[in-house]
Amino acid sequence: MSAEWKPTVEAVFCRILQPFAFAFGERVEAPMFPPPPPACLAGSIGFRGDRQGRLRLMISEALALGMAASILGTDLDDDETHKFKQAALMELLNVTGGHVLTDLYGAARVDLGLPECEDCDHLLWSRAASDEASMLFLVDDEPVVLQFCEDAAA
Amino acid sequence: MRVLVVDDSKLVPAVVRKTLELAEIPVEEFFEASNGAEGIERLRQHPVDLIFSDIHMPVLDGVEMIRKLRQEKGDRTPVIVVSTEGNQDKIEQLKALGVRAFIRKPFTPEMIAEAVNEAKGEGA
Repeated sequence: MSAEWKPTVEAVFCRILQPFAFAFGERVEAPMFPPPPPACLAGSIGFRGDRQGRLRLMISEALALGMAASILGTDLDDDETHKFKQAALMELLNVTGGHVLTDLYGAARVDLGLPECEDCDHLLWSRAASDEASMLFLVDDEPVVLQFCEDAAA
Repeated sequence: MRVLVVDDSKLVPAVVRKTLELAEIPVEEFFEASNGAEGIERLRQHPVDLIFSDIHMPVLDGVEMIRKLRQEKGDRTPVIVVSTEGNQDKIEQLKALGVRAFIRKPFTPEMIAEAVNEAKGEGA
């Protein structure tokens, strides 16, 4: 698959962050990308229909907590914030995915699936971050790896 | 106002509640359900004045929940659909079921206030 999707996905992701969690995101190149965070979360959401594929996000735990706190209006160390850190990532996938599909495919019949959490460790993070197909971001200075793939058979 | 939020995200009910507060819309009772089937059951136990519903959910999605409520149970509780949905087919199905108010996530207090006013006009 060509990388024609990259400018659209980058624009959507950065556009969503501010109203979603009062966060600021910018795309960075690999040399500027920090090493894997001490703890990370990963998640993905699939889509199917006229087009099918998957959007995957890997984020630092610190960013997940920051987003949850910002959305809920809680403190970073509140139990409530920790309880909702995975939900914050899954909702970010949901919102980003919905807007990406509309911006990329317009009126095509494409349905978004349900977001899922995935295991994430330093090896997986490093592999994803060094994959040329991945997009790297800093969101409120925290690293984010974004992968978008469209199935060839679609 | 009594409110039910039907969404599989654990975060969304909290966000809706907070945004209603920011929009200065008083809420006396607040109920949550994680899918359409749970939503129908909650409504059976606790009638509400307004439903906020996602579209994509496990077990029973938002379109089917609203269809069941409207066509099988004769329930006319106003519904605000809160989703990332851009699929026009789904939107048309919901409009055919009488849904007037749609909010695309992420949303603001102003969007919620406008949608509540639109939803109150449902069936008018």
